[in-house]
Amino acid sequence: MANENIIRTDRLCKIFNPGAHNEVEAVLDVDLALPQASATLIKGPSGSGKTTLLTMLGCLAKPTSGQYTCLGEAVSHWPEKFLTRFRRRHIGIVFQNFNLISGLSVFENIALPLYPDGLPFATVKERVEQLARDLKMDHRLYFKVDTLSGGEMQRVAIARALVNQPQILIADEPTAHIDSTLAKEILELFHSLNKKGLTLLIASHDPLLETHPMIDRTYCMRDGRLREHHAE
Amino acid sequence: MLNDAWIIVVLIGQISALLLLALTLYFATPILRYWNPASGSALQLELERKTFFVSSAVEYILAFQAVIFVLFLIIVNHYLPRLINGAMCASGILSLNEYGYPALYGKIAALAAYLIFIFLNRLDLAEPAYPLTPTKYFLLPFLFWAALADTVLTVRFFSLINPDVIATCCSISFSAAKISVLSESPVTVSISALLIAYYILLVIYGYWGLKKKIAGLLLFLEFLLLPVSVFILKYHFVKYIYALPSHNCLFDLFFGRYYYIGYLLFGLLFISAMAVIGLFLLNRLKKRFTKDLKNIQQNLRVAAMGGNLLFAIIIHLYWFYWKWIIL
Amino acid sequence: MRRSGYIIEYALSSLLRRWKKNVALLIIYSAVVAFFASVLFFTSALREQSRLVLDPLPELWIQKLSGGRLAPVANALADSLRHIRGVRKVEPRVWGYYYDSPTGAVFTLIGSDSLFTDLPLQLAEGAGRLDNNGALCGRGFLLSHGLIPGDQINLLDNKGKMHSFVIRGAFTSESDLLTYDLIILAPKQARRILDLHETEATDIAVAVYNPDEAENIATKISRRFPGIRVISKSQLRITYEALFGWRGGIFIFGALISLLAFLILAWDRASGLSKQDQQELGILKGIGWDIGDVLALKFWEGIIIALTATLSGMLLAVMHIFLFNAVLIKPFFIGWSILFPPYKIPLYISIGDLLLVLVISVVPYLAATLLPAWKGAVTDPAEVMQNG
Repeated sequence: MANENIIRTDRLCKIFNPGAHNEVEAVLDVDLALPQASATLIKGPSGSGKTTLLTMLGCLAKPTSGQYTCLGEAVSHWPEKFLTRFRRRHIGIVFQNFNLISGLSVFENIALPLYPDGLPFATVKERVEQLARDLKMDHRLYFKVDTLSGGEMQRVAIARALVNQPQILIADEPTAHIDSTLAKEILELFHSLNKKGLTLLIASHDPLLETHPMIDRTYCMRDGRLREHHAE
Repeated sequence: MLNDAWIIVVLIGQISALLLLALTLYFATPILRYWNPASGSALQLELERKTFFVSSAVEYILAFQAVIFVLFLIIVNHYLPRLINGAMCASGILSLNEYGYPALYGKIAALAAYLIFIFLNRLDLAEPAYPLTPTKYFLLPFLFWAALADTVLTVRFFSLINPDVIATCCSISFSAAKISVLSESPVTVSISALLIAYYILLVIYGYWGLKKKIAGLLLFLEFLLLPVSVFILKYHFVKYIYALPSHNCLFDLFFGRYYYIGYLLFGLLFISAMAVIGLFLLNRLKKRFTKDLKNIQQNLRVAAMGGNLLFAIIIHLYWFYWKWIIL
Repeated sequence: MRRSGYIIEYALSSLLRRWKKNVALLIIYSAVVAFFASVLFFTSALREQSRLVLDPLPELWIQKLSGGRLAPVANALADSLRHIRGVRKVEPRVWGYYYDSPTGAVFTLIGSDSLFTDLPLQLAEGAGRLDNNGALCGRGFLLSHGLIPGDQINLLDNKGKMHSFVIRGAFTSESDLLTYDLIILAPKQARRILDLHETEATDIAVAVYNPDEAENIATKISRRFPGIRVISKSQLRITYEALFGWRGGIFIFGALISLLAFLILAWDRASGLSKQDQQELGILKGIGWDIGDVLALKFWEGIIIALTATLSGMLLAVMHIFLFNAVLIKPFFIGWSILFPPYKIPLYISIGDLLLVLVISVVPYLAATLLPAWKGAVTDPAEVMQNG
């Protein structure tokens, strides 16, 4: 299992408004093979299609054409409902701008992905509290998220991405809205998760990430095409 | 009588359901035309999302119609008999005009149709390939026409009721029974024949049900057994329930003084019939599924046989109570 | 099960977080439900009261017609009626209307010496048969003249001669519908006031052994005796029922129009998702809620709103009808007065009425909000990733 590629794509394409005058080729012919417990960085300027690629790899969107096999399942043309369920069970996503639900407590925000599966509340509580301890958020568990600092919000967002105990963690610009000390802290956290076997897929143009020791492969995205990037 | 509160509520419910169904049909048309699971186009995604509207709407409609059906039963069984001179139960109410019984049967048929659609829909949505899409959507136009017919019949039925009319109630049921009792006529013979037919059918039905073979035959048997069950109830067992030798109007079963047993008895028959139809459809369509449907089949079989068996047990308990405990 | 529990909890918190947006909707919704429920409860209470009133009446009564007008019946007819099969009891009745010039009101005057045990009566003295100088009165007469039991009343006969009676007892408000305008005298005195001969009665009440046979006996009687009219209790009852149904119906149509207006509002509110709502749905979709989960959320939100509004609407209606005596709708019913609405409406709510209110308030609301709910539920999960 360790040597198998848990993410594999074959000529993955995403074209918005095909055939129309405002056609956009966001992702073109992406071939990717990522083994388990790898840590991959995708670089590229904004608008290069990084995020669109991540939405497909994260089972948030379906490709226009091409194949995507995730954890051995050919998910590329699954209906949205099944993609969502698959994502809910196997993939965690950290969004660029936290995307927490204001008005809810830290606890509720972290627990939200578990609601549709109807897990027993004891399990939910145990998992959320464990994560809060790991991420040093346990002292603020019952605070409204609106009262948190940027770094704390990011940690809540990460906890929410991990609460379903995913095999794959996808993060879009995880260090964009926090200062560099905090960013280093977050990356250390990712590193430790990666060591435990979590497959990481990070899109960022933060140089801090590029040089980070956990990153074992780097790709560069430009105009929807993906190229392997070899450091000098 | 269209200005009566009960009837207005029933009609509002009907119209809500009908409007939702019309909307559903509007959503389903492009699904029927353009559905292509292999495509990753935006259109396909949109159609996929539309299927959710259709499923939810039909489930809403089923819930609405079930409530309306209960209201309809209350109206014809309990409410209108107080208003209509001479009618003591639904039999008199429903025969007030030629739309009464068709409205009742129309409602039952429409309920059955919604249930079938929801059953297929649930099966379909459980597999990523959506094996029954878009086939199942061909049912929707029929559902719509059934609901429309149901609504029209209901409106006609209620609008033609005039509280001044004196209804005849069950006098027909009464006199027919009296004749058969008085003259030792062939009707008596045919009741015992009917009973024998019932027992034979029940045994064959149980046998085939247990054999788990040919669902088509089970369906055929169910549609023999169902009317026979109703007949033996009407012409034989009901008098033990009422403890009246000459009264065999089935609608009194829905009254509180018989503990609303009618709702249970007919509910059991309905469940059995629906389960057998489900089983039949499942057998027809199971090649399209990759998943194992044995569990569902087993449950349906239990529901079908259990419903009929429970029905038989209950009516025999009444008979037993009357024959052996009272006499 | 547990999934629904979580989703209901979330729906509740989601509504509470937006309570400012929902409170106006809830108030209007409750008002519409209260309108509908008021009409229903009011007609039901009237119906129930008329049923109470009709219950003690005989199954049949017989009037004499001459030239199409009502005329006094000869007591002798009663003897012939006794011989008809199925007739249990025949009783000539003496009653009529009395125009009271001081107040300008018309009262119902009945001649009877029976005990009226089945009507709530507040007696001045111990119970007994009504003597020749005694009278029993409804509250209407007493209130308009400022009298209490034990006082004296004066009534004029057809020739203008005054007769005095002592009020032996008064009917209480519970039976207002029947007794509000009632004056009861001994038969002999009543005949005098009503200008009836000793051998005549106003009509004849007939009781039968089997109430189900009443209609047949009525037909038999009207065939055998020419020049009479037979009225049956069931006919009267059905007339009342139909009357209330019809009256209520008009109001219910009014309530339906307001319901329709409300539904348009609800549709509009449900369709116009704010940017924040849209974003929240996007986040839910993004973190793993599928369309079905969001539809369930919207369904439960709808149910919570609908049930809250229905319950508070019912409560408002109960207060309106039974605590405040239907102040807002009673005038309309009195305006068409064929029946006299009571001053104090006795508390009467049937399960059927509650069911009707529930169905008419919840079903159209859910139907109207399904499409907007679906539109919210199909928010693209990828959107949450894109809005960087």
